[in-house]
Amino acid sequence: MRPGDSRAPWTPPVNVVLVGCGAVARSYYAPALAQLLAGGWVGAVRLFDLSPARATKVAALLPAGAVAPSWEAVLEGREELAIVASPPVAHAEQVRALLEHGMHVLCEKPFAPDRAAAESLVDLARERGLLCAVGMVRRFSRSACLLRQLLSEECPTRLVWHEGSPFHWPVDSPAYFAPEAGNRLLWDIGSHVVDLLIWWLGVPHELACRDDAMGGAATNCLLELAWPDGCSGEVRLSREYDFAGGLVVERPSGVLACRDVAEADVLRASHEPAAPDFEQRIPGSPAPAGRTFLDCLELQLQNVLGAVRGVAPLWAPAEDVVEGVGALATVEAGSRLLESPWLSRRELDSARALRAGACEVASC
Amino acid sequence: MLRVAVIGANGFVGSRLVEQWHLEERADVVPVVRRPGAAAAVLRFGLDCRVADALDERVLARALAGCDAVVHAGAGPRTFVTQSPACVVRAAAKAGAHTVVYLSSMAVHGWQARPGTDEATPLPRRHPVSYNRWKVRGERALSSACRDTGTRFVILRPGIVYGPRSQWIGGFARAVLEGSAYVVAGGRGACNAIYVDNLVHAVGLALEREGAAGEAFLVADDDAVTWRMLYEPVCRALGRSWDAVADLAPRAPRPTPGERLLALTDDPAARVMLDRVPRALRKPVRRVAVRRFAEESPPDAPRRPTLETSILQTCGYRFPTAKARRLLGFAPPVAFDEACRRTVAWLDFAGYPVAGAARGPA
Repeated sequence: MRPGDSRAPWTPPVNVVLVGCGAVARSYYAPALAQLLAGGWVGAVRLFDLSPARATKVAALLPAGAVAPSWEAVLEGREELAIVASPPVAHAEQVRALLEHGMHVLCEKPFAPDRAAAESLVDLARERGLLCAVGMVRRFSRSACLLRQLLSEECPTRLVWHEGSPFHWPVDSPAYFAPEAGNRLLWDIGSHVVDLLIWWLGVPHELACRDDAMGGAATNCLLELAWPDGCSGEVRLSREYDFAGGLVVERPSGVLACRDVAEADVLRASHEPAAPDFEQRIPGSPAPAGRTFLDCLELQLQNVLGAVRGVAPLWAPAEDVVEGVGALATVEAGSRLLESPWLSRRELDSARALRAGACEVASC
Repeated sequence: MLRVAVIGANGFVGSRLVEQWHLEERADVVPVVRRPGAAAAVLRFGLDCRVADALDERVLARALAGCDAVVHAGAGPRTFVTQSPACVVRAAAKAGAHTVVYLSSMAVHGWQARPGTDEATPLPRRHPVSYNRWKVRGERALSSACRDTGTRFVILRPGIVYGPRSQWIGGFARAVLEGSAYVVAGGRGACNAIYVDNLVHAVGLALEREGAAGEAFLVADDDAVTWRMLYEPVCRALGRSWDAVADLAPRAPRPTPGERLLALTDDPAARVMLDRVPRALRKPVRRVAVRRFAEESPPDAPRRPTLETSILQTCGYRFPTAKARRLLGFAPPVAFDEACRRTVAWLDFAGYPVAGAARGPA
């Protein structure tokens, strides 16, 4: 059963406001919300974007989607749940304002720029008795849930995770890659990877980062991790290369591999599925954990809607993500140059100098 | 410092040119890409990247504003290859850039060129591989636009460009890993290879040397490299034996009727005609075409190389680079062994499973 095919097991439907109508809203949230509207999970949907034209375009994808005329109109609205899918730099401020105005929030990752900001938002939600969830959509995948179980049964000794592809996201301008936006590769893809690793194995006691930004935005990134129980790991992220390898986990009893945690099976070294009968219930949804990205997104929304109605606990609450946010902020600040091994000596010297210069500017 | 726009800055040669010239402070580089997302790789340097389609003269002229010279390293389908060179020249002239360096290809001479062929040899009009024909048309349109606008131009005709980010290398490595890699006639044909840094070096000379204006230059490495010499280090790096690479027999150097039919879909005029075929007839036409293909390649038929690969890998002629040496002072700075070392290092960086012994120091 696909999550989108199900009817809401409770009434009344939840009214939602979608904040930010860029590519994520257009490509993912609008189709998912349309499904949930049809299934009675969601009632009215309003949309807000700094560009009313963009909001109108996304509204057209939803039956009776209305556009909020201003940010103030969003804050004064009667929706119970706000979904924040705006540019990352605006997340923390918008989440704070929405919580202060009494709305439950589901925020796209990263929901805060550092640990302190993340903790203060979690505290605020707790004080107000509101829900604050983060879009860690991969936690809703069958493979992520299965790996969590398998790795809790037997500690891994080593894991290698390669994830990346040439950048195809429909950005509006090269300003998306402005160095002021920080290491977006780390925060975009790395957020998911680090969140899952912490979910499965706990917080690593060593975490180091190298990236290839030389006065601009990183295209390639390498994370090296170690856990107190002896497991070590390497995560390679790229916006330039097709990394088909996915995740490979070594355990004393054998290797597990998963090409794509959101969409592919977990396999043993024999290439057979690791646990064909495994099924994970997601609280609030009649469907089990997903096998496609879109299923996972719908499951996440059903879980949050169920939590708003008080019938399910959050599967990815913000307090679970605080450690990951803290880890990413720390490694980003201490990241060193990931050197390109095909450069000449002269180029390498220049690359190091550019990197050092960029770090000085950043610390100023 | 010269301000140089690089069209196709996200491509294989363009991205290396941007990287090297920026890091070596050889020029103030302005990357030009077709869509904003394509800027991802070059923007790790925080450069002033501009977005323009090389077929849109007005937008491109705006993107080239303030540039002294333009390097056209863009690649694309037929329309792009044939029309963008002239469009780039006109846009450069409008923007006030004084020089255009165009990266053409040795392919304009055909890979079955007669011994003695050089830059002075008239380019053949007919080529069995469409890309070669398009490149000839692109060169001609560029020269004509330069004469009309009074723009200084230099055409470089590199052979097989290899190195970090090369499809020749990455594509072959993928094929090795999938077990589908092959060479034709033992890979003994002349590869006419040029390491990407050596090509970038030639581009720099083309911009600088006065005597280069209005000329075309064949450029290749000093080393006489065969296809096997190019590909064997890739196999070794991946821990595979050369025996894992199939050795296929060459095929007749002309397209089959099926390949001709497929090539039609790239022809704008034929496309217009095809689009006029009533929808109801398209399925039966496709069925006939598929049957025709099936007749050509029965399931038990021996494996056959693509036409282009067969022609490329049976090339018996090493194109001369004497003119480039004489007028440009071209001497490739990176030797083949070092080029292979850097290329394998890139394979490792790009996530290919390079075997332990082939990995460099961390």
